[in-house]
Amino acid sequence: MSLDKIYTPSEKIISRDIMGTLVIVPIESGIADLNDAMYSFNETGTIAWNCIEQKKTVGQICSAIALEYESDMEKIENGVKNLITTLLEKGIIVEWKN
Amino acid sequence: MTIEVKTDLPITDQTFDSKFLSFETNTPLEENIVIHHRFSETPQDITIDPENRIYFRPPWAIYSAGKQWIYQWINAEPPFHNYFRTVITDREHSFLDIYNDKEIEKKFLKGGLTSLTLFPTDQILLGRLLAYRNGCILHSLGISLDNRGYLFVGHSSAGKSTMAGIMKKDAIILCDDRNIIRKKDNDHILSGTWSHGDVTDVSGKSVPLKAILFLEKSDINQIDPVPSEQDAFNRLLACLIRPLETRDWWDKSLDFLTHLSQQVPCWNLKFNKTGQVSDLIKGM
Repeated sequence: MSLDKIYTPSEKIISRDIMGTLVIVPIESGIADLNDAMYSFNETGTIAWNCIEQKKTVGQICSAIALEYESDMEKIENGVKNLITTLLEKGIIVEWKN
Repeated sequence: MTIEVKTDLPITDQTFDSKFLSFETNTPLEENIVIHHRFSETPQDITIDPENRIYFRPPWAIYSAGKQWIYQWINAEPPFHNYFRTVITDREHSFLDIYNDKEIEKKFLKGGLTSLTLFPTDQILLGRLLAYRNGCILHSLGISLDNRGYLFVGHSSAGKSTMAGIMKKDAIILCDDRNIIRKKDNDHILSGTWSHGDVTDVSGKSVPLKAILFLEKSDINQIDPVPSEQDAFNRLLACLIRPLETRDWWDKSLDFLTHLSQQVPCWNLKFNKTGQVSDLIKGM
């Protein structure tokens, strides 16, 4: 996965801050295999999601997380790439085509 | 809220299933939803623009058409022909003109209908229109105990029918499977529905909702506050009846559940089959 790529939330989801937790629900059940029709993110996931909403590149997402957490960049990149792969598989994000 | 059913054909004592009797009234409330069953072709002036499709998942497709929505029952395979029924409604679902085909007409004339909409379930209509009226349907057992509403929330096998059996000696069972919650002024109001589970007792009674209890079968009987409002929200969301989800429906439903989990006391309820849990509920 290139660090220059940009991903954006799918039109088939709604994301909401509910009582301090970022919650994502699919508009139509079935776009993802969600037992409870919901995803919620931890703190780093929330930073990544905010970047995705702002159409930041994968590299910029990693940098944003590196600003908040002391961890080596390789680990951060792997974590972000894994998250993006999962979100793509579930249909929660799509690749941004400018 | 009342639902008024009109039809082009006469309604007899045999048209609808007897389960509706508990909910029947001849006095429409100010908030009255009118369902008009028509047994004729959809009007020619109704035009459907594929670009205005807001929901598509056979057997249903929904289209936006100006201030109206059009629901079509469609075939599962391309080219997704419309059959059985077309529904024309306004944004708030305050009226529904349902155009039924000959197959549905035969079913209507045969009688014993188990839904007012003639859909497989009325949840589709109720679940959608309640979102626009500060409400929702939850997979739950609702009871009225001394005119106070208690909602026991849980999926299938969580123990809703078992709990209904335990509570029915002291309380009125509203419904053991699907219940309606609405915000009215400063109260949340609990009402049963005719979509019952194993316990056939249903009631058209509405009562103020005093507590929500998340069911857990156990060896003991114990009530504990939920760890957090977020936890309550998550568990309510898991049991929300989700009919033909569209973006605006989700927006309204998420708002409603957030307020519900913050404003109504929520508890985790462990219970066994001894029936002693009823004393805990009565003592709340």
